Amino acid sequence: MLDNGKINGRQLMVLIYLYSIGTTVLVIPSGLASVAKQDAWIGGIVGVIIGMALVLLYTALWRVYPGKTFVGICQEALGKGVGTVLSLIYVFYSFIGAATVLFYVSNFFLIHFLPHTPVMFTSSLFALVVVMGSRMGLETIARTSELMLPWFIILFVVLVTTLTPQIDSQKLLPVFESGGKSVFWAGITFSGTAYMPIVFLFSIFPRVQEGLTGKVRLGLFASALAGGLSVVLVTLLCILILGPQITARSMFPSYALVKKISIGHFIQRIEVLLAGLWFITTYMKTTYYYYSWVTSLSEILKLKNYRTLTLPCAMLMVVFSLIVYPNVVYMQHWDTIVFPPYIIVMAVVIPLALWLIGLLKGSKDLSATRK
Amino acid sequence: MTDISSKMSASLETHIERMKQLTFWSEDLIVRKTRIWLEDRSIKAVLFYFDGLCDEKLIYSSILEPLMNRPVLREEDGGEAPDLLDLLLESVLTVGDIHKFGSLESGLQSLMSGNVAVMLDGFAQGLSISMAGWEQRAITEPTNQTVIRGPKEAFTENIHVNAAMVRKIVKYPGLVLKNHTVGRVTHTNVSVMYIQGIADESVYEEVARRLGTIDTDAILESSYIEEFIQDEAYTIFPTIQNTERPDSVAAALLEGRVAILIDGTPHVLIVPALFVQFFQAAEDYYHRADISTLIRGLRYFGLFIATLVPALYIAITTYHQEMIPTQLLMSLSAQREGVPFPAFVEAMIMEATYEILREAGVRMPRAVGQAVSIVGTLVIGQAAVEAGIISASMIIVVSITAIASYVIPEFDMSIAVRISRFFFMGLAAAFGMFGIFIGINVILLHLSSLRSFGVPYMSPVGPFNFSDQKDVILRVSQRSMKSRPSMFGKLNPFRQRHSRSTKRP
Amino acid sequence: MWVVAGIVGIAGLCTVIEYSSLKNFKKDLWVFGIAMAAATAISIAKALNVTIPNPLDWIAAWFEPLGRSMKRMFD
Repeated sequence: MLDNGKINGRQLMVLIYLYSIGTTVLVIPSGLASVAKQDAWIGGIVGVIIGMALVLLYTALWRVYPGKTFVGICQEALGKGVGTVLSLIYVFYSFIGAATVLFYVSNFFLIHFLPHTPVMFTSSLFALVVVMGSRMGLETIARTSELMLPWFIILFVVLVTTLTPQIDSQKLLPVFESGGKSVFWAGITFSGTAYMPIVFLFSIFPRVQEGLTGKVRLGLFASALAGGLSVVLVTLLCILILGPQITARSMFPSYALVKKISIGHFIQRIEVLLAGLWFITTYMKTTYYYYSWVTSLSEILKLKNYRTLTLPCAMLMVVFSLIVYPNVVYMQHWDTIVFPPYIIVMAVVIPLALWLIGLLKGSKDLSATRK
Repeated sequence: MTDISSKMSASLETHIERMKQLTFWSEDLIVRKTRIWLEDRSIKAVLFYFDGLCDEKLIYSSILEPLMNRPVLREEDGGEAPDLLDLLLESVLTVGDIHKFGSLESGLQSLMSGNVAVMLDGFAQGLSISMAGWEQRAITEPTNQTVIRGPKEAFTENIHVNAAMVRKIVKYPGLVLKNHTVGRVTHTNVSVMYIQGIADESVYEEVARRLGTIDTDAILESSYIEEFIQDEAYTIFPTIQNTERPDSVAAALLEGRVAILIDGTPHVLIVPALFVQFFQAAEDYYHRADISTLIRGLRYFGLFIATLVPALYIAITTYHQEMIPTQLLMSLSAQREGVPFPAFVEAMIMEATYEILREAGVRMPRAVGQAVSIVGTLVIGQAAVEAGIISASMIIVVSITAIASYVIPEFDMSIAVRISRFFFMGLAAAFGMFGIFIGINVILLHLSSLRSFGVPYMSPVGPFNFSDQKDVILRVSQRSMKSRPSMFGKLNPFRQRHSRSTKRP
Repeated sequence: MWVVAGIVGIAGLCTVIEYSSLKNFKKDLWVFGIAMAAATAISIAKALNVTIPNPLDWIAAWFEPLGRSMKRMFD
């Protein structure tokens, strides 16, 4: 495999934090608001709670199959044949993930900042950085994320503090008007984008230096919680400042939100700088989807070096990012109707099954040794 | 020059002839024949040395005088004749650094360093005596790394003097110095210093190994060695630090790093070198902690300005005009109205002009240099604005950038900044702010992937280490500098014990 | 036309970059070759505006009915 880079527990925390914010903060507030209206933030909190349960599941799965990537887990649980098929499905899944996230990123930058540049160039440029990072290895990406974190936090704090004066708490009322069912559905979509992709990080869990110690597990929970809550905070601000209707109708409500920042009527319209926030988080997400895709595929094919596949996969990713969502209507439809069951199956049902199989196998082994 | 050592015969005449032959009858080789009187006979002896390399007065008083003015040596004093050499070595020649040599080539090589070779008729070995006494520059103030407060001595070109200057500061027996010779033709002396018990031996071993792999003709400056032993070839960022100041070297050694001194240059290399160390200056430790922290912050701010401001200017004026406050926007657009070029071309012209002026200023004869650099930029800039080729705001941008790049204490790092500036400008012109983000990302990735002698380049920020933050942007007071940087000083982690407060109880 | 040339150029560049590290590993070379060929082919097809099947459609085929019923359940 030839990437022996290790990351430590702290780097994993930074990773999970930025990864869970990922594209969530770009696209989710609008989805939440259209389902739950002004209770979007409650839906977000529900999503975070669901997410914590998911992290519990993933850490349990990690504990049952220590030191194995997802490919390894599939093969161990279901044997070579079925396991390989399942892991191929997951490879396909991360490929789709990478292509769709790349689409979101290039679309976002296209619409708001570079309307006259052909989207192919923006996509390719972003893909270039993703590939560069992946080729350099996990350690490099982890260190870079540690370097980027302070900037993210500074920008985020600037965002929150400069927007707080503009809050209109009337916009939150009436609270819980949408009812439990809508809120719950909102929560599911939230966790679908923020937390369920953590299943892909199984390709790097084996690389964590300390393994799954209590400290690492606590760090995982804490950073996932922090990530989710950050998105909830942004959603809350969207509702409080923009109002539920605008939030529901915008494609990137968090962006519309930062347009409103005005410091002393002098520094205004600095949304480009805050786009740096989303650049960081989406970069993390794309990189890990892509890295997971390439390394899992090389693991299945038993290649000497995963870097062989990086360049062709990058080309495929860019091409398919131009293919996957032909238009916005298709995108809305797919994201709200097809995506939730798809991801629940992949990221909840199957891991749950694998975990149960692991438990059974474990007890079988124990009883075998007892005999 | 022959590489095969010739076995020395016993005949003095053969030696003299061979030595002249080996130096191709160079006329600065002094051959001084003399005799040593024993009880019953005299033995012919010869001195070889190079004119100008040796301290002649010392040769007369410490070698010739004992050899010629001695009372007659008795056989019993030394036993048999073969011990005469040992007798001379031990009791007669009043010199310090003396050793035997067994082949003419090694004897000749030592002559090159200012040694005197003494050979006796009938002996297969000779004596090599260190008598270096050439003219050299006195110890002066450092030219590049000046301080307001702090020692004002700088290294000279003589490696012995330099090593001594370091030893004067670190009066610790554990300060180890190991010699190496590098360069097939120049045979340059290279000394490696480190503190036993603080520095990690494996770093020294790696340095020694890398020095051993250098196979080249000449080492004229420490940068030659730097280029041979650095970790990565394809990077603009320096991974080896250099300094002219003995106190910087001493501080580095105390952190657990290794210093490489090279004969012939006052620039001493320090390895491993991390990114944050290029933003630390000796002065930070000589002023108060609070002002040093602020100035460090200013340096990083200067780094940010020097790298990104031209690119930001291009990106904002071309793509993101909405960010500019309205009044500024109006005056900017008024300025840029008469300018025929897009912001990118304007910036490139100005930056290129500035780089030309800067380089010319270095090469100019001193009398003219000052005038050209300062007035040149102003006059040319002003004239260009009046002519309508560039806008006034561009001049401001370029000037701020240029001045900010001088805030960076280490020259090598400011080179990297200058180059990356153009990279960002290109990206900003093509892709605006998105391009700048991409550029920052690429540079961060690149920096994170570098290692300097095994230590990740971006420590302690890359792999984050909380206790090491005390010396990155902050410079905490000396009382709080309790531990050494964990990247180098794991063997001996604590500098000081808990120091008592000076407040009255 | 230029786009196709550009794509082929990029593919060539990628091959040059990877070739030296792959020379000795037969299997890696084959995998690289196949992947590169597929990627180039699809890219050229997209550049020439040939309709390429969208993988999301395949996923939608499987999950759409389930998704609709889930949405109805929660609305």
